[in-house]
Amino acid sequence: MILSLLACIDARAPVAMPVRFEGGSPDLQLEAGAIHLDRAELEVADLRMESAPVARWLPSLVGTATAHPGHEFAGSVRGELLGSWTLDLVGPPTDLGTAEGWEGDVATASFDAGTLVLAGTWTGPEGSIPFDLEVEVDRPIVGVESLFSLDADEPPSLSLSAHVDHALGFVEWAETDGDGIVTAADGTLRNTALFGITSSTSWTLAQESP
Amino acid sequence: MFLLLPAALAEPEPSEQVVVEQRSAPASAAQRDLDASDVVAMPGRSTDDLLRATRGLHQSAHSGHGKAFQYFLRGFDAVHGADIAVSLEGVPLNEPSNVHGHGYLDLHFIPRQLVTGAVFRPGIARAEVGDFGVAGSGDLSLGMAQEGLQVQVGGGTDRSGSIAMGFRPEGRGAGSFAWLDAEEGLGVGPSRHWRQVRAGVGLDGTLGGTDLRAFLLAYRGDFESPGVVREDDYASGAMGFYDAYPSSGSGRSARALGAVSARTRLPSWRTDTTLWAGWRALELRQSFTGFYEHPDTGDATLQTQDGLSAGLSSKVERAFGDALALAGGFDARLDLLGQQEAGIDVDGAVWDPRIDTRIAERSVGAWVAAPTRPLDWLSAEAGVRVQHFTIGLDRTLDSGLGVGKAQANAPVLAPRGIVRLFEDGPLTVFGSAGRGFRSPEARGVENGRAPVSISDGGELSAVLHAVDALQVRGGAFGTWISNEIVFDHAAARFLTTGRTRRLGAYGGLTLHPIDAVSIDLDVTGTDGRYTASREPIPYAPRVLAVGQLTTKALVTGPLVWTAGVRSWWLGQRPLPGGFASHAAFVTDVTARATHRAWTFDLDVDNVFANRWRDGEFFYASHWDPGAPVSALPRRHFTAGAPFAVRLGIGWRLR
Repeated sequence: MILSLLACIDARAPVAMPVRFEGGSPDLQLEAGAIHLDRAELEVADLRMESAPVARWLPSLVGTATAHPGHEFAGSVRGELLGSWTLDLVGPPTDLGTAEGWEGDVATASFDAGTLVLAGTWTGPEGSIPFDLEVEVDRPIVGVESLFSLDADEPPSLSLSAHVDHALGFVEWAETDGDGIVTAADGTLRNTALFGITSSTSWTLAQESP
Repeated sequence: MFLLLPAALAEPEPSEQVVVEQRSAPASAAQRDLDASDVVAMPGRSTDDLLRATRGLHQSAHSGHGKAFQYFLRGFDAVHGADIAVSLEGVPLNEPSNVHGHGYLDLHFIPRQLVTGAVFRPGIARAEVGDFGVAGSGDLSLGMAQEGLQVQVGGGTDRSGSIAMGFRPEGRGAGSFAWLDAEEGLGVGPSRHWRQVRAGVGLDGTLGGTDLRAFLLAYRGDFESPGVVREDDYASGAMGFYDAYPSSGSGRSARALGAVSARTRLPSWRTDTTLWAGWRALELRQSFTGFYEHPDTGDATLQTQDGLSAGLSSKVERAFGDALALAGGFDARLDLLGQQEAGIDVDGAVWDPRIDTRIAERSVGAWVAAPTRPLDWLSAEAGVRVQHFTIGLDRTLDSGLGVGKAQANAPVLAPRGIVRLFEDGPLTVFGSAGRGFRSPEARGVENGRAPVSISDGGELSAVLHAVDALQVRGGAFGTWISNEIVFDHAAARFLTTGRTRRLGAYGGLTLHPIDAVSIDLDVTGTDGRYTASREPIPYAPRVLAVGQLTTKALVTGPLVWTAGVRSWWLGQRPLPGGFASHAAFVTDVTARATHRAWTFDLDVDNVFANRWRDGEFFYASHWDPGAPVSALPRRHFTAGAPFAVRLGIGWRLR
């Protein structure tokens, strides 16, 4: 038994992996009409990949973490790419940089979101309506599907994708104030656009096919 | 090299001899008894280092010279003492519900020169062992080995100096002494300054056939803590191996402990009663994550505690002929504690008071055991301990938000037993099984019944002593915990981690090539895992190999030598999250040469100057407030003891 314990522990190795952003088409066909995007940009920062949670906590009345050697858990962050970018949601693929991480399975991803800028034309049964809006998202987008493994021997190339059609599918484009252009002040547009862009299913972080 | 010189043998001077009380028969081949010479021959600076003599135990110093070590034994991460019960002359030393860790075991208050013996017992089989006896237990003997006035001074390359004075009246036992020592050092590298003062008095004597004993120890220590270094900062050259981040930590520790005991020995009866009381103050400033949680103020915390403790224990043994005896006892203790925890900024000012708690913790236990020897080749000892904890606390959290009072009870029933076969023969076989337990930590209890950590273990071992010069030992052990309850003071939460099991084996030998020289080799391997997931238990050592060459009373010319060269190798340890530590190999040396009234001491830490990582941890930290905050876990390490040489000279007037 002791001999088996003498063997090296198969520990996680560091992994470096390129990450790029994949935008979508500027022309979207939604249930409620069609959209042509002249401009769709989102400020984002600090992409993080996390493993599935493993801890089960009992209720406690005492305070917050004050780290100390002896941590039972290392934390769930498996990979990370720090930085800030303005993503062109309908532009060509963009290299975001090289993320660093540790070997293992990834379950979800998150990143911080800043200002969302959308400009284009919505065309529906009522005709075409231009829109031009700027929404301060200012919150993290969490729970992004990221089902892959990080392997130091075969480090993956990762692709962050925005599903703009899904994100804008929540918007009621017809609810306008009649001034001929849809802005963030019109109806529920700001809220529905915010909801859509921060929806975890509007994004995917995936391993690119070899 | 002096150890290799041809040597004649000599009996130690009579005044160097200390009567070591006959301890109870061992429960396993892993038990280790140290006499006064063994203590001198055990490398290390403080009394805490003596615990390394426990077979299978590894200890880590992650916060400077003055804070309790972190202990690992047989697959247990005992944190600062939660799973190892240690006593001094029968007085329990673990601190229940200490603000920094349950069972906090800080032996810095005991002058190492006053330790005249010790017994360390991995595993749990004796009914006498109470709270915190989960992975093992130990007891230290206190006294002054030599009569007369004794003065020692010393200094070392770790920028340290020390002075000690002691006095034992002529004709009095080792328990009669007066002691004072002080030491100060800067250490190797920044943020390692420490200063300690210890004083003690003891008195022993006999009155009407009863041995009476009293002692009082007092201690004050101040220390800086280098904390952790991030591996990537070390790799990039931003940090040296023995560097420290600014405001990494510091502490103050003070303790007084006094006891009065009476022991009666009659042909068939033995009684032993001890009344003790202690005062404790502890203050710890620490930051292991820099500015990760709180980028503006920093994550440093201040933990303070003050408290009074008192206890009474008594035991009675009655022999009924040679084949049967009965033993029983009880112990009770009361701890009244006040403790606070707060976030502090880089200047040490409190900005976030988090906890302010008053705790009253009562513990009452009783045990019985029946040692029997029905046959010459068979002896057994069945026992049981019952224990009850009552914990009351009055909490105030989060800047005055009162949480109110809570009262919790925790009863425990712990059966234990030992079987020995062929005790007087060349091959002795031991079998033992027992239940160990750890009291609930006060800060986490709610009204009602509090969770007690229970471990059930067994061990089968043997000692082969076919010839005087060689003893060979080995054994296998297992420990099962139905639901491991961990109070993670990193996150300040109770954590249930499920069912665990620890399976291990050990083997070793003691060789006496000549009477004055012994060679000990011990290897302990433990596979500790969560039963459901099969994941390894983090931090616990898997393999620890220890070798020690010891000389006692070895005469070379005019000098009498007592010395020890101790090497240990610690295999990789699993860390949380699927990571692993580095292996470590360290050799330490201690040597004492005595010439008439003079003693000359040499200690060499880390002879080969290995840059070994004492502790390794994976978590996210942030030490540069101007840089982006990374949440990716990083390897951190606490630097192991560096190479250092210390010399001392002592003089004794009889």
